[in-house]
Amino acid sequence: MSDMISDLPIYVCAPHHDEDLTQYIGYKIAEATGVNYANMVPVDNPILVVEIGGIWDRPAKGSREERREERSDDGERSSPVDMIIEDKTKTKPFLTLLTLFFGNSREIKDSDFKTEMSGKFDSNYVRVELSNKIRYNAQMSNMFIKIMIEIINELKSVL
Amino acid sequence: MVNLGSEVNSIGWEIEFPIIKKGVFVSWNPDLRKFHDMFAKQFKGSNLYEDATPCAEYASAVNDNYMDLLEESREVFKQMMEKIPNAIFFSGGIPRHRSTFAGHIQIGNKRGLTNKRIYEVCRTLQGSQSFMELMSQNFKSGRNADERAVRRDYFHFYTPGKSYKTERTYDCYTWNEHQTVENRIPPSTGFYHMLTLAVLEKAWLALYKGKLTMDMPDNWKQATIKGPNGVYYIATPDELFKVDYTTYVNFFLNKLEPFIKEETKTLSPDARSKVDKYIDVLRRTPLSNIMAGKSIMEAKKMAKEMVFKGKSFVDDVKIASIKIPKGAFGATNVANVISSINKSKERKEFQRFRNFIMAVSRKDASLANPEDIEIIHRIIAKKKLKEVI
Repeated sequence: MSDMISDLPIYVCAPHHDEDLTQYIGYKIAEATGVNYANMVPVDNPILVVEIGGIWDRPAKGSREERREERSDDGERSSPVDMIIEDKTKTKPFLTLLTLFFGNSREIKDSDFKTEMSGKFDSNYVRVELSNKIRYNAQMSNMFIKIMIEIINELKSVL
Repeated sequence: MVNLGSEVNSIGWEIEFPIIKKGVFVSWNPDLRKFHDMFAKQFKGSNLYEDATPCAEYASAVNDNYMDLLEESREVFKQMMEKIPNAIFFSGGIPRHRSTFAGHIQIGNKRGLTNKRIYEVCRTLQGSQSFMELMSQNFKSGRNADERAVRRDYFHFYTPGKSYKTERTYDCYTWNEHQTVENRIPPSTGFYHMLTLAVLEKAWLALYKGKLTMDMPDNWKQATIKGPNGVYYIATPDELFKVDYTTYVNFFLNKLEPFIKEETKTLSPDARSKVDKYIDVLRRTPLSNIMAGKSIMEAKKMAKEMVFKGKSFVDDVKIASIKIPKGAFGATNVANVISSINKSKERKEFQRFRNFIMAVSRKDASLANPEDIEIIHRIIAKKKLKEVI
């Protein structure tokens, strides 16, 4: 079930199987921090689950959002935010630090879509949905990976 | 309302066991014939025979307490396994062989239940089918969580009708020739697994006291096809909740808890701890997830240890507990992260990229990093040309 096993029950998950790039980003974070990587919901008792998704700026086909989508002069799609963050930890370090470095990001709203995992965990859970801009741009994805690595390493140091 | 919990006071079970000897499957061994008469004398009402499944089958006596049934089963299988060593084991299934190991729990009373009572017991147990299926799942092969439910005409979702049936059917709950109620949802033939399920069944009866309980075919389908990955409905008077395996199973286990405690009072401390351990494991995952990785040799060893040493299949399963953090993630930790990121090369590259984009979009070269100013001028000039043209 998990691609990588470590002693500490922290999981980085990128469960959407058609999101190769997102899964790669998740894997890099897990590899650098030495935590578990999984591409589905962990069934043991994790102390932290970090879910990374990559469909934030891709609305469902035919949806109202798709029809209402803003387009710039060049026909490029522009999303209002670069990422949304759902941080169900006590001190919310992920929300704090990601919004600090990625100014164009926000906390998840009730109207935003839910994933299977976000319904499953009431605490010790973080979800970050990335836009294409972050996923496809090397500087932005490297920066995102770096921030996540630093936070998780700092978390590990207090466990 | 009849308190079926007290009227139903006997228990027995059938254990179907294909015999695999030197890799060859057989449904009977001639050496077992002499055991038939011996066991019939020693445990009145018991029967050892070749079943149509195909497999050998031991139907226990109808006992009035759990410990007698446990001891009978261990004694009977000790003797058989000594005679046919390493040939009988109790996992849920085995690859490449049609028949699976299965048990059927029977509850009733020694006199036998009337048809009407059998029907009432079945109606009360109706609501437990999906839950019991998940508790029983011990074998996974193919695409479904319980291949036996979909590929064999083995057991069907029981729907209580207006008039009670007297013919024996392939429903999850039906009657047995001892005039008992038989649970046909097959668990592993691990004695302690079957004991756990029997305790749950009796606790259910005690909780619902003869009332009709409802289950949904959707839940049943999810349980047999998806198992621990399924999505289940829990119905309350005015709301329907969609939940996962863990929530669904714990919902019922928590309701049954006081009745489980009552049922397990007659168990020995060792047997009670095994039932508790099974429940602890099944709260989190079905037995099939544990048995799935076992080889034939491991399954044989587990069966031997169960019969000869009284070890259950889940004795060695470790349940991880959440480690309580020594410290808390506070302002100092946040400051450490910020400091580390600010010094990193990723931050410098990210900043350079951001400045570049801003300089282009605002047509202001002074916003870019020094190394990019020349190219920004060229881009801005081209844009201005475009505007002019």
